Amino acid sequence: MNMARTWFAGVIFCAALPVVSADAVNADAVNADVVNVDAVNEIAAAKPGVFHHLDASGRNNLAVSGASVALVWEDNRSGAPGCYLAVQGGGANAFREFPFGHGECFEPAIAALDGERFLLIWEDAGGVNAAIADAAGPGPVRKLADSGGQGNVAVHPRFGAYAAWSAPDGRWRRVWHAPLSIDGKQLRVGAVRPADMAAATDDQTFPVIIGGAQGLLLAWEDRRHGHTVIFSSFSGNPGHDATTWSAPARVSGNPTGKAQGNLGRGTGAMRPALAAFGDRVAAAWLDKRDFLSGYDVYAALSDGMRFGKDRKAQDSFGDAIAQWHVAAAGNALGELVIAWDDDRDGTPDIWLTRLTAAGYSENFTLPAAAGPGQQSDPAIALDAAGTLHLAWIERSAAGATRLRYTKWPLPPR
Amino acid sequence: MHRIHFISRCLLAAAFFIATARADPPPDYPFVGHDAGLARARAEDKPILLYFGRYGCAWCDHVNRKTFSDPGLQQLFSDNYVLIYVDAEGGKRLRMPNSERLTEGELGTRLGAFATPLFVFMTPAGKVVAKIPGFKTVDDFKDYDRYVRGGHYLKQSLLEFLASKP
Repeated sequence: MNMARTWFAGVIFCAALPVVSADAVNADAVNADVVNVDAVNEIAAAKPGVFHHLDASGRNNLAVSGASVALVWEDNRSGAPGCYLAVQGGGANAFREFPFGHGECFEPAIAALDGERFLLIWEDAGGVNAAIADAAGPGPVRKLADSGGQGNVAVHPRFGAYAAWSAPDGRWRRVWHAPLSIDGKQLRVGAVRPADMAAATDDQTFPVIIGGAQGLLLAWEDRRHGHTVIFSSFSGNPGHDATTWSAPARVSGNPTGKAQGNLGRGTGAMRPALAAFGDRVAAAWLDKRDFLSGYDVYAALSDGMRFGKDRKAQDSFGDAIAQWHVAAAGNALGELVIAWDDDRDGTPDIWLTRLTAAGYSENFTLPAAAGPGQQSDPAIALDAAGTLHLAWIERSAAGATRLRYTKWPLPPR
Repeated sequence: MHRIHFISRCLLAAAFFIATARADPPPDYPFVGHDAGLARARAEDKPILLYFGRYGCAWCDHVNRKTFSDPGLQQLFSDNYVLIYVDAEGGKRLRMPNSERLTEGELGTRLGAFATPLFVFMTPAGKVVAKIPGFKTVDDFKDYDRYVRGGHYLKQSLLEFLASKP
């Protein structure tokens, strides 16, 4: 069947060639100036039977605060899934590692706070939990919910810290959010509210929250239409009460409706990621509206409150194959980078695109995160100076995994 | 009496809806979850048919109506296979034979589930022997059954087996 797939992919690829258009890519803007890529750090080494996972909701496994870099992940080195934090303090050459979580721990996510501190959220045997971390490791744990998972956190310069997660509410999972107040390494949890005040009619999952120039934006997977689409809600005054959050609005344009013959309910869009850049916010996700060749990377840009029409963020050379694990990062300078993995060159590599004045750039790779072997599951962050920080999973032919990290100063646009 | 009969039919219909509305496996087949299915396959020494579907998937709907509605196919696969349904976009956590924990969506990545439905045939120990994407007919599934239960996968790829017109 692999032969059949390859043949089929080849046909689709050839058919797609004429649609590679100048307006879809900007070749001059990137042509990756990759000579300045930093040395690669190994954050977690390969060990037989140990599986590393970078699978935060929103793919927010990596954050940069000042000169400190922090990565969170899950692996099973102890015999059961556990969560780990690695922090490279300002000026340090190496990452220092800390375990966290109680019992089996899953899907840790991280956001940058000020003062080289970080905000963590994760799911473990005790429910959904959060903590502040710095170069000395995580501080006291604060429980957000007795059950649930897929947590995500964000920090807004005026509104402070917020957490979002999904948790069962009767038959369905719903997305919840709450403000977090911070005192040193202590966290307090404010009122927990649903993202959608209306009663759930299907699952809402994989939330991601971001602080933008206009306020807070929350996005999630939503199945209310009988298939998976991306929804969002905005608040310019989130601390006031629940009514300050806008009614959920659809972000992804994957069509709803039965196909010919009264079949199905629509194609899928999943695993949203958000990034604030300049005074705008980008949402990126995996989208299956072209259902014959797997998920594609789509993105929509927001003025900080509402998202405009979405469009494909990958270039057409990736159209014939599936994309996976989309991540997004931005900074105050207005830089936006979207990353994912696909195997257009034969094996999975980390691919990136950068938003330019002419649109999304040609897709490019960085040497350390591409080539022989399997490089997948990117987690990215952009620091204030415009350096891209990238962590990923490298998988050997025998299936052993290790976590790798590098950084790359974006060349001038 | 008629009213009781009507109510019981409504309850049955509601139960069916609740059982099937969140995902799209074909009705009237004993599909089970991933972890339970792997355990059952080992215990009963039966091969596995893993149906990788997607919530709202049109081609899954099509194969359910046109192919899995066949009574002979229903009996063949219900009797001889452990049937597992996985939601390609789901966030439910699964346990792999090597003890790795993955979400349903991540399993799709590992299996290269670029399209749904994707039918994955596996040995009772969970080893993949064939991956077949897209709409397939009743006769196609009967061929796959002969390939799997006949042990032909030990000597031939599925394409070689089908080309030999067995």
